[in-house]
Amino acid sequence: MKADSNLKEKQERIRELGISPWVFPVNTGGCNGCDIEVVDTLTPYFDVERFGVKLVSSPKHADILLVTGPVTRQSLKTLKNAYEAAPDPKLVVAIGNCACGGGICHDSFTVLGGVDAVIPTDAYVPGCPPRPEALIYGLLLALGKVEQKVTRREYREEDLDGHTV
Amino acid sequence: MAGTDFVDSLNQFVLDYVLGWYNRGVVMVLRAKAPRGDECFPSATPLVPCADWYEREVKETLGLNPVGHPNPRKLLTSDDWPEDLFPMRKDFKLEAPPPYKADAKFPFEAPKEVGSFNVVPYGPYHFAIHEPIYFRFHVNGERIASVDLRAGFNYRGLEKIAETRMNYETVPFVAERICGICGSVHSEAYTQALERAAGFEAPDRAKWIRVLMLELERVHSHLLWLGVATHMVGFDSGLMQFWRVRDRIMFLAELLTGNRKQYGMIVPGGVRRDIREDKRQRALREVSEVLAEYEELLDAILNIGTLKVRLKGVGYLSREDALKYSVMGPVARASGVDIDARRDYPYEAYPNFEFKTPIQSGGDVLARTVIRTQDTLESLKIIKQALESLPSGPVHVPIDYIPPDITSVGLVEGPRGTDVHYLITSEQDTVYRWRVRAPTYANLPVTPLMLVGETLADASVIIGSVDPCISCTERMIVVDDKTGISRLVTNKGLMEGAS
Amino acid sequence: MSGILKLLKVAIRRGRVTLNYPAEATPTPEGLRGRPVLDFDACIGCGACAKTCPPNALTVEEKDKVWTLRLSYGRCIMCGLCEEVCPVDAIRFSDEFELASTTKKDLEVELQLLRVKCGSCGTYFTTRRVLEETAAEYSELGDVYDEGLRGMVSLCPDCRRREWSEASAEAYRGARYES
Repeated sequence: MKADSNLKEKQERIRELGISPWVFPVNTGGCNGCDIEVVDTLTPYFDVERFGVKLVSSPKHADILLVTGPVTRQSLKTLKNAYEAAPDPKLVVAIGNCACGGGICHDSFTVLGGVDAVIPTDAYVPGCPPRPEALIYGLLLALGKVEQKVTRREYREEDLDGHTV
Repeated sequence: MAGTDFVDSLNQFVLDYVLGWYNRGVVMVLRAKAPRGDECFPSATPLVPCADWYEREVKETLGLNPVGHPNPRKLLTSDDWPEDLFPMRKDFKLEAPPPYKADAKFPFEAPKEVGSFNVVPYGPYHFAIHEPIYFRFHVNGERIASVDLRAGFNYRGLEKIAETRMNYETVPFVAERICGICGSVHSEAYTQALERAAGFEAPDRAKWIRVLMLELERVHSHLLWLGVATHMVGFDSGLMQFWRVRDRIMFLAELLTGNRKQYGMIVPGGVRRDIREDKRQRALREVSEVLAEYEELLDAILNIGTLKVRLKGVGYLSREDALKYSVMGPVARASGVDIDARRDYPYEAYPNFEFKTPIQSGGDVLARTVIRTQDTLESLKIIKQALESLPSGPVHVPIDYIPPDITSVGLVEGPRGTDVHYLITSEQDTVYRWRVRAPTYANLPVTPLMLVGETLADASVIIGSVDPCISCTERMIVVDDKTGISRLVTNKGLMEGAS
Repeated sequence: MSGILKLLKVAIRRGRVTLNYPAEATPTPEGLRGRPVLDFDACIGCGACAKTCPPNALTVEEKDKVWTLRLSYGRCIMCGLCEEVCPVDAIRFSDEFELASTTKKDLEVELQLLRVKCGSCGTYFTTRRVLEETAAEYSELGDVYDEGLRGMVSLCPDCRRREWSEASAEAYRGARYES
């Protein structure tokens, strides 16, 4: 699902409110690797609290929802509840491959296939699991503080007459 | 216990009970059969309480009814999954899931005692437990009177994916992603089962490197737990300091394997990457420094008086209960049960190393904490021995031939206890049936016993002291059982291909 | 000394360990498996990587004249199996790990190559580059790679099987009559 309101608008509104985005991690049935890397960003080597980010224990306090895991059938309701409880403006960041598109279990019968199948998603951080630095980069990208580095690449071979495929 | 659907080929379901006799180092597999049309079996739960969850799982995924089971509710499939649809049967296709229903409910148990109780939900999202799992406490004031739990949030159907889409060589990658903390344990157990089925032995250097990977995982898992445990009792410096030391191990793992977790190293035939000499020297230096820092930190943190007061006497599990429910790992060793798969069922290069298995008799959360701290010390010593005595030679030899229809079992001591993988090979290039029994599957049903009678404030610490790894528990289970004819098969018999 | 004071000593002695990311690039160890880089000129279109990829991050679509390979970083588990099986080293792992994106489209790479028709039945069966690569390897055999063999290479597997068995039957009949 694409985000309902423009990402730039949301980033601007969050910036107006203050500079400390609070984060609520939501695990929709993943292996837990990404969640541990999320907690690892709090630890001394990475110290995400430098940016004012704090891990909160209720979605009602959150500005950003960090969603991990492919969405399993059992956790669908809880994910929707968490999304609706978080107040606007809010950002949703999909962490790890399972959240980006279902990951290695994308075609399983209990998996709904990634976060954007259920709620509007603002940023994707691939990796299995993504390094804590990659997580920090993804968070800052969602907040609009760094530039995106990866772009779509396409290549078309030319045939003998010089036409591309 | 694992169940398999042989309906197409043999017109029956097969149920295998895998029993481990750790004192003698023997694994027995009792096989029972259930013909199509008569899909039920007498439940073993009244006699053997630890068979509880296995039978519930067989019922919902294969459709075999355990007659006489006291509590045959759903375990892993979601609340809205239809009762008559059995995902682990061979005729169920992956692409055909039923539509989602939003209003399904789960039948929770009422408290057994008489009185007025408040219901306190714990989870599914809570900082103390990294994964979603829902506990429901019935409390009388501050005291917990009874506990019910709902699992199934992490059920991803990985066993079915391994049976259909994968082949023998790519299943370890799925196995690693069962759990983000103990990934190598699962890929090692699968590889051990497969190599045993093929009668193959990995080269020596590969065995040493596998031990290295497993022990690195144990160290980072226990340091993680120590950090979270100190956080749960309100002492955040413990979290920060233990995880600071843990990050050094993660950097080391990244240097040796290319990724901080999910190393992708253990595959059938050996390991995928070699360790160059300069990396080995660097690893030795790192491990010595980590050992020194860890001992210093332990000395500081475990001497803090308030910490001991909060952990002592809480969450008691008696030795009888630990044996009755077949509990594994540090939880069992803290209650006086001396089991360790590295010593009881020796595998890989462990017979070449000297290590102790710590054991305590307190049975409370403090005893489990002490066991884990001592386990970490022993692990760091094993890592040093492995790095110092690394033999030369190839790290991977391809397996020529994997015979079909072999039943095989792999046992590995993970950070949380003994992980058992059971598989049946097939004529195609993939497993016919793969069943993962993580240690938490045995430990989690015991949590209600530990919680009843304690105060609500201690609930986090008690649940945390079991070190639950819910994603290991729920990958997907398919169980097929039917009791009837049974046959004793020893470990040697398994290797010779009894089926 | 009480535990708290000992802990304070440890903390003061270790000091500040925070990496100054993202202001400075963090050191990446050698052999880190980051973003897989596809070399568009080297890829011949054999599809081995897609067959082996565990999470189906690499997928192949074949339609008429076009062979399409799609790689999604969002599904790649960075296991390295594709790098191991590629016969021409067209896919390599770099150490780039900053792969976050605001859209899923930016996480995809698409490569399209041309397919060729069978010399006998006219169906599209493989890519032009695979044929050129095969011909280049066979030509190293020298005289053995004669006109008959060259003709076989440009046939689809079914036609090749049919022509080869007809040629073998012919040779067998000839040999029998000779003796």
